[in-house]
Amino acid sequence: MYICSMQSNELIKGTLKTIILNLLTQNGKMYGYEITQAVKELSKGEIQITEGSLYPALHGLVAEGLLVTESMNIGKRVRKYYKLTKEGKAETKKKLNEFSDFIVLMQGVLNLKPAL
Amino acid sequence: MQLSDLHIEIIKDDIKKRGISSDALGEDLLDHICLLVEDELNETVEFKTAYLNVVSKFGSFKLLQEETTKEITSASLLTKIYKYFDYAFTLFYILLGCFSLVFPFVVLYYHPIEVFVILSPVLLFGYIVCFTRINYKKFELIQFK
Repeated sequence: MYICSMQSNELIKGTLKTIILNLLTQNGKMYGYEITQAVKELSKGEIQITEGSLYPALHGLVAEGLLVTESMNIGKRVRKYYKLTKEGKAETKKKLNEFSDFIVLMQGVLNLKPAL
Repeated sequence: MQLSDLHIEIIKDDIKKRGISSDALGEDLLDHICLLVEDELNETVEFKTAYLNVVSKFGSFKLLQEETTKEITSASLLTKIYKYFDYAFTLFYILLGCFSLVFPFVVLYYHPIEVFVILSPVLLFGYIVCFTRINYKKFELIQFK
């Protein structure tokens, strides 16, 4: 699903949609290639999202009504920007809270000290 | 280095041949592949080498199409079910609120005040449930505008 140089796939599975939604909250609108590059840059190359996982997730989010697309012609090709809908903004907040709660829970279960 | 229109047409045809049937996914992949190929192109690397190198890292296009279709189908179904229940619950709460507004007058008309006093906690519960739901919907609309 992912190509990850350092982090385990198992740890990252299930967070792809949260990553996409959060990036779009911060950047307004982005296209597929831009999302993969942003994740690579933010994770300092540790997480590299493949096209095989990115586009099913993006199209799924559009079908769920959380994202809409905006097309722009670049010569002979079309660049599709993805941006959040009203429901998408609400879902992002929900997913981020869920993820934050999960981290706190796992810190308790595994008896880990939070990083300062 | 920018790709020529001919190169873009070649990539577009090849994506279809490799099993991408959806136009929406095809447009995304065309732009994505073009950007990756443009990154690889330079004075020494020609289009064909750069393109084959990019495509070899993609994995199966058919699988990508299947995964996307599967994701869209399940997401559409879930969204429809969620929306249906959301509308149904909102309608139910509004009807409950209307009933709670009318019911006291009916009780007061046919029965003594004592019956109304006994039923008042039920009516109050109806009001609270209904207006909490309406306020939540208003909050959703305001917050995520």
